[in-house]
Amino acid sequence: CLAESHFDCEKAIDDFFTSGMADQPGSRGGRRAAEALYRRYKEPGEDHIGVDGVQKFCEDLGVEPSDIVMLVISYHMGAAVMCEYSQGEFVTGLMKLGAETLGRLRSKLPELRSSLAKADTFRAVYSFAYDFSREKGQKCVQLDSAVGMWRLLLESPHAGPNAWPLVDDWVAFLEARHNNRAIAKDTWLQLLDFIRSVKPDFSNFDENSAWPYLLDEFVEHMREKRAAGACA
Amino acid sequence: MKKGPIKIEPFRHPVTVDPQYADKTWKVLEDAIREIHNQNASGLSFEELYRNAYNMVLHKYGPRLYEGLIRTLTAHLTEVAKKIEEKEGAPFLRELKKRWDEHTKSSQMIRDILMYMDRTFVVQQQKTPVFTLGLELWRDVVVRNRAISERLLSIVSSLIMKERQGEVIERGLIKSVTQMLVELGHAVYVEDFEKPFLAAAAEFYRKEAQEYISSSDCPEYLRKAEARLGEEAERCGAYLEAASTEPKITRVVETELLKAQMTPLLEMEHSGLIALMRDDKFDDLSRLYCLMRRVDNGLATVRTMLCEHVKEVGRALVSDPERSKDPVEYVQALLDMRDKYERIITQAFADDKTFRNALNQAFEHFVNLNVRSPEFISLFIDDKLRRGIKGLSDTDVEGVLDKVMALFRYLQEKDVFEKYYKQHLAKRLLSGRTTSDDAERNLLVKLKTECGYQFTSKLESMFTDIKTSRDTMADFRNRLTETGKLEAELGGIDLQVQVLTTGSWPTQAPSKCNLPRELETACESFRTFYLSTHSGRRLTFQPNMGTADLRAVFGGGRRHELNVSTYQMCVLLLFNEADSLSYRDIAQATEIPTPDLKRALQSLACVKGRNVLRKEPAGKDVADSDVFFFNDKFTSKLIKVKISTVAATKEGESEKAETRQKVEEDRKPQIEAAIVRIMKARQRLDHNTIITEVTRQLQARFVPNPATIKKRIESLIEREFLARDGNDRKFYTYLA
Repeated sequence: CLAESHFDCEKAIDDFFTSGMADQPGSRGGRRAAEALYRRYKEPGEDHIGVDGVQKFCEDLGVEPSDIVMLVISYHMGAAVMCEYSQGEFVTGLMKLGAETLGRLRSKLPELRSSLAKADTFRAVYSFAYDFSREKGQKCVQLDSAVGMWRLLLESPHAGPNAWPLVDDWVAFLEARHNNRAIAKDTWLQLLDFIRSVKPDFSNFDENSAWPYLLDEFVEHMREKRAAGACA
Repeated sequence: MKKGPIKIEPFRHPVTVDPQYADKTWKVLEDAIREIHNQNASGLSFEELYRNAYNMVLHKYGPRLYEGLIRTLTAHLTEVAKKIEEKEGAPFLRELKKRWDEHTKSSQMIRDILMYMDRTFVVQQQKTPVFTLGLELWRDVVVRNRAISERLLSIVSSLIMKERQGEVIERGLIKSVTQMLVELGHAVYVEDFEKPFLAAAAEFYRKEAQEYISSSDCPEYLRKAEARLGEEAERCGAYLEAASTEPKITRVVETELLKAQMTPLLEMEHSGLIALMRDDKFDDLSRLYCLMRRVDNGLATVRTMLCEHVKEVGRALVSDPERSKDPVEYVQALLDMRDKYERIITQAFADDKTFRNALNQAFEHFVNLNVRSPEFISLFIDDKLRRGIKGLSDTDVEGVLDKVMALFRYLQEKDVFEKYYKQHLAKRLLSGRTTSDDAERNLLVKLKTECGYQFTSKLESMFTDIKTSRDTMADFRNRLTETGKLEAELGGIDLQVQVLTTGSWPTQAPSKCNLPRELETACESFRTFYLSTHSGRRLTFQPNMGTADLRAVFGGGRRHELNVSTYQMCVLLLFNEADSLSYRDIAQATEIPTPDLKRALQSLACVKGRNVLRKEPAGKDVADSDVFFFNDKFTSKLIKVKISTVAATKEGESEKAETRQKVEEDRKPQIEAAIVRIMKARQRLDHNTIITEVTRQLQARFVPNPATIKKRIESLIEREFLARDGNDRKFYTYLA
C-alpha cells in the first residue's frame, strides 16, 4: 500500500511537472510536491525522516549517504541532527533550493557540489557541519566524528581552493596528542581561519595571535617533525 | 633802534706749525721708548713725554704716533725674540721669564706716557689700547715665533713628563710661563699650551695604561690610576690654570686609564671584579666603584658584570644536585650568598640602589630556576621553627625570618610555597613541635603584609583550630568528670583530639585503620560529645596524622615510654597478644594502607636504637613475606624513646608530581576568575592584553604560563562566558 502510494505520488508529481504548473519554485504546488516527497521517506508513525528514509532518499538521488553533497543539502535544509530531517526542515529546504522533486534535485546536484568551491558557502557549510555532527544533548563533537567531517570537507575534490593538504598530519597529530577528547566549537571554527590565513609551511604563523592552543601545538609538532625530517 | 645779535669773532692768531714738528716730536718719543726698553728710564721726564704725546694727538698726528709705536715695539720685540732664541733648556725659560717681566714693565710705562692717546685716539678709532697692543705684539712676535713656541712647548712638556716620572722640577718656572700665557689671554693659553699638553698627556697615559695592564693586577692598577688622578689635580693646582685644565686633564686620565681599559681591567682573570667580589676585597671594590663612577657606562658595566656573575654562581648553586639533597643547607647557602653580595653593596658600592636592584633581579632569575625552591624555603623555615631558633633572642629570630622573607620575595610561584608551607605548618602544629608561637605568628604577619589577607587566611584558621581544640578537649574532660564516666569511657587513655576544619588544612585522603578496641571506645565517646555540642557537623578521624605515647616493659623489667605514631601504636598493641606476627597478619588486623604500614614497620624494626621489633629475615626493607617478633632485648639509655616514622621530609618523585598537579589544578580557577574579572570590566579585549593583564594580576602569587591562560580562555568560550569577536578573531567579548 505504501509502495503504491509512493508510486502514485511520484507519478502525480511528474505529471505536475510536465504540465508546467510548478514553474515558480515555492509556489503552492511546489510545497505540495515537497510535502509529498516528505511523506514518501517519513518514518512510519514518527514525525520525521529517519535513517532508513535518508538511506532511501540517497538511493533515489543516486548518491552515497557519505557523499559531501548530502551535507550541502542538509545545510540548506538546516538539519539539526545527522540522519534525520523534520518535516519543516525537509520541505522548506527543498523549496529554498527550488527543487521540490527528485528530478529537479538530482539535476541540481552538480551545482550544489560546485558551490563548495566558493569561500562563503564553504565556510557556512563548514560551520554548519559542527552543529550537525553533534550527538544529541552534547555540546562538543567527539574526536572521531570531527575527524570524519574534516576528511569529508577538507579533502573533498569539490572543495576547490578550500581543501587543505595537511589533513593527514592534523588527524595524526590529534590522534597522537589529543587523548581522544572532544573538539570545541571554537577550535573547529578557528581551524578554517587557520587554513585560510596561515601558509602550509607555517612561516607566517604567529604564536601570539590567539589561535586555539591545539593549533599552537599542532604547529609546534609539525615544525619539530619537519626539522627532524630535514635532519634525517 | 633794534639791536642785532652780538657776534663774537674768534681771536685769530696765526698758529705757526712747524712742518717738522711731528717728526721731531716722534723722534723724541721714539728715543724715550727705546730707552725704556733698555731699562734706562730714570733719565726721562714723564711730564715732557706725556705733553709731547698729548700734542701729537691734539695736532692730529695720532695715526702717525700709533703706527710709530707699533713699528718700534715690533722691532724691539724681534730683537728680544732673537735673544731668547739663543738660549736652550731651563735658561731659555728663565730668559723668557725675564724678558716677559721687562716687557710688561716697559709696556706699563709706555702706556702711561701715551695715556692721552689711549683715552681719545684709540677710543675714537677703535684701536687696541697701548698696553694690550704690547701684549698682542709680544704674543705674535715672541710667543708665536715658531722657533720659540716649539721650544717652549717641548721644554715644558719634557719637564712635566719628568715630574710624572718622579723627578723634582722647578715648578715656579713653569708656573711663570703658564702665567704669562694666561695673561696673554685665555685663548692663548688654551691654543698654545693646553691643547698640546692634553694631547701629550693622552699619549703618555695611553702607553702607561698598556704597560700597567700587562704588569699589574686589577687592585694595583686601580691604585695607580687613583694616584695619577690625584697627581694631575695637584699639578693643575700648583702650576697650571686649574680652572680650565683640571677637568680636562682629569677627563684625559679617566679616558685613557679607566675607560679604554675598562673591560680588560674588570675581566682580569685572577684579580678582576669577579675575583675581588669572591674574596670580599671591600677596599679594592670601593676604589673600583669610585673610579668607575667617573667614567661613562662604568657603573653600568660593573652592574651588569655583578648581575651576570651572581646569576652564574646562583645557577651553579641551585642546579647542584648535591645541594638539593639537603634543603636546609640549600637555603642556607642561598642566604649566605645573598648576605655576601648585600655586604659588598653596602660596604663597597656605596649602598647603590641600582646595584641592589640588579642583585635582586639576579636572585629572582636563578632562584626560580630550581622548581623546588619554594619547597626548600618552606622546609628551611620548618627546620628553623622546629629547632633552629631555640636559644636565639627575639631580634635574632626576626633577622632570620626577614632574610628568609627576602628569599620568599624572589619566588615566582608563591602559591607552591603556600602549599608546602601549609603542609609543614600542619605537621608542626599537629605534632606540637613548634618552638615558638610568637615566631610562627610573626612569620604569618610577614606573609600577610607581603601577599595580602587571602594568602594567610587559611593558615590563620589552622592556628585557631588548634586553640579551639584545646578548649574542646578541656570541656570534654570536664563533662566526663562531671558525669563520672571518665574511667568507663576512656579507660585510662589520655585522649587528645584536634578538630581541624576541612578546607583549611592540607587535604588528606581519609585513611582507614582498625583502632584497638580501647581506643575505639574513647573515640566514639568523643564523637558523641562533639556532635552533641556542634550539631550538623561531620567528624572523621585521621589516624595517619596522630601520635601516641605507650608504656612498654622489655626483658629484665626494663620500662620505656615509647612515643610513636598512631599507626605504629596499632601495630605495637597487636604484640600484646602475640609474640610474633607475619606481615600479612598485621596488615589484615590493622588494615593500614600498604605504604604507610611498611613505613611504620620499617621504623619499628629497622632503625638501630629504636628497634622495638625484630624482623626476619633482617634487612632494610619490609617485604610481604617478613615475620616480626617483639624484641625483648631492646635497650636504650633513655626512658623516653621517640620512634619517628621513616619520613620523607623532602618529597619523593611521585609526591612531587602530585603536588605539582594539585598546584596546577588550583591555579585554573584563579586564572579563570582573573580572566572573567578583567573581561567583565573591559567587555571587549584582545588576546595579548588579556594575557598581560592576567599575568599582572596574578604575579603576586605565581606567574601563569601564557599557554595555560589560553586554555582557560578557550574553556571559558566553550562554557559561554566569553565569545570570540565575529569580526576580529583576536578579540574576545564578555557574555553577561
